[in-house]
This record gives sequence, C-alpha cells and structure tokens, in this order.
Amino acid sequence: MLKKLRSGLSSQKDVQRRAELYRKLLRHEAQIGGELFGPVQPGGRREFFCLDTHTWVWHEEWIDQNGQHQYTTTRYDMRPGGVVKSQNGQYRPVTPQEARNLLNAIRMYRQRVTSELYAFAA
Amino acid sequence: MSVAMHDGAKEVLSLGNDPEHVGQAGIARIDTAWQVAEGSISALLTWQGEPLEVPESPEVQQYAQQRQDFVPVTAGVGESARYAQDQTAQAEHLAAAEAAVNAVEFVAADVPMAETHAPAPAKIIKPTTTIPYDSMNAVNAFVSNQGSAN
Repeated sequence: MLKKLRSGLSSQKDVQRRAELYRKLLRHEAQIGGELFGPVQPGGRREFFCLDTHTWVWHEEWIDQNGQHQYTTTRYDMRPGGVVKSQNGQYRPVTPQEARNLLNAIRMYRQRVTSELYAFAA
Repeated sequence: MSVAMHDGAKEVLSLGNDPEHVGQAGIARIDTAWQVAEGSISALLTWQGEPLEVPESPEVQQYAQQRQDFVPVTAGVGESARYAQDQTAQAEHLAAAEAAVNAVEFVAADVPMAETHAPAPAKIIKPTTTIPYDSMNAVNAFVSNQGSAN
C-alpha cells in the first residue's frame, strides 16, 4: 500500500517536473523568437513561440505615447485548410503577405531554436 | 554549427532529468509544427489564388538534410505527425476548417479597413539589422501588405 502511494507520488512529481520544464523551455523559445524581428523599445516586451504543433503565438507589449501600457497577442491556429488568426480575442483575416512572413518567421525560429536551445539533443 | 549554448539549454542540462529526451521532444514539436504550418499556409495561399513560392536558403536545405531521418519521439508529437499524414482525418476536418476560415472572412467584413490593414510599412528582418524602436511597427509590418521578409 505504502509502496503504491510512494510510486504514485513519484509519478505525479515526475509529471509536474516535466510540465515545469516544458514551461521553462517555452519561455526560452519565446525569448529567442522575440529576437527575430529586431530590437524592442525600452519598457516593451516581445515573444514569439510555438505553443504546440498547431499553434503559434506572438505577444507584444509596449508603452504608448500617453505612457499607457499596451499589448497585442496574436494567435495563429494552423488548420488543414488554412490559418485561423485571432488578435486580442478577435478574429482577423490573414493576407498572403502576412502568411509568407509568418512562414519565414517560423523557418527562422526553427533554425535558431534548434541550433541554440536544443543543440545538445540534435 | 558553432553557437554558444543558450541559457535555456544550460538550465535543461543542469536539471539532469533525461535532458536528451526533453530536447528531442522539443525538436520534434518544432519540426512537426513547421511541417503543419507549411501545409496550412500553402493551403491558405492556394485558396487565395497565390501559390506558395518561398525559396529555401542553403542553410535551411542543409538543416532539412540533417533532420531527414529524425523520428518524433513523444506520444503527443507522434499523434500530431500521424494526424498530419492521415489524409482521411484531414478530409474529415477540411469542411470544418473551411467553415472556420469562412467565419473569419465574415467577421473581417464587419471590421473597418483601417483596423484590418495596418498602415506602417516595415520589414521582418534578420537579427543583425535594425528597425525603428516602435513595437507597433513590428506588429503592423507583420500583417501589412507592404511588409516583406528576407
């Protein structure tokens, strides 16, 4: 009984540890992804990352002219028939140029994250 | 490729909890995500009458060659890879996806042009070049018809 309980707790801890590790890796990926588009203004923050195999996220924060904190979160859902984009919760169309930009950004992301973050496992 | 080890890689290695497996899972997720994105964007452009024509750099071709024999290792990624290859599943989801895309078009029709087509002309750029310190420009450039990637 005690053995089972210990085993269960150990397994649970392992799952939690893996989840935490996954979150940490995503944060590092997001940091690398945020560097793909050039510098960020002081007080701003930019993240671009692969949330899962079908979802890409761009998060941008900045201080506007009135000193107000602003943000935009853009989410691209990859579907078999196309791309569904939502920005701050609202659906938006994806132009052909944006689609190409996105593909290029993903290509650069893949190159950099694999060679910098996961080089030890490649 | 000689690149300094990223802090994230150091962190993973320092945890000592099967880092190679974790790293391979990360690579598999991104590899699959790349393939899925290429398929989705290609489908989108074809649907819009603009077939995908993005030349691959030698570095990308070399990278693809290196990764040619890579097999996804985690269950989750494996499922996604199988999904991507499963033509039947794709056919079943196609109608739903098209409906979703059409719904987006419907929503977009109610949004003023100024909001859907941001005006700032800028470019997606490589890390070695610079853009003005304007975060909104970067976002707008990405969605702008005038933006371009190099």
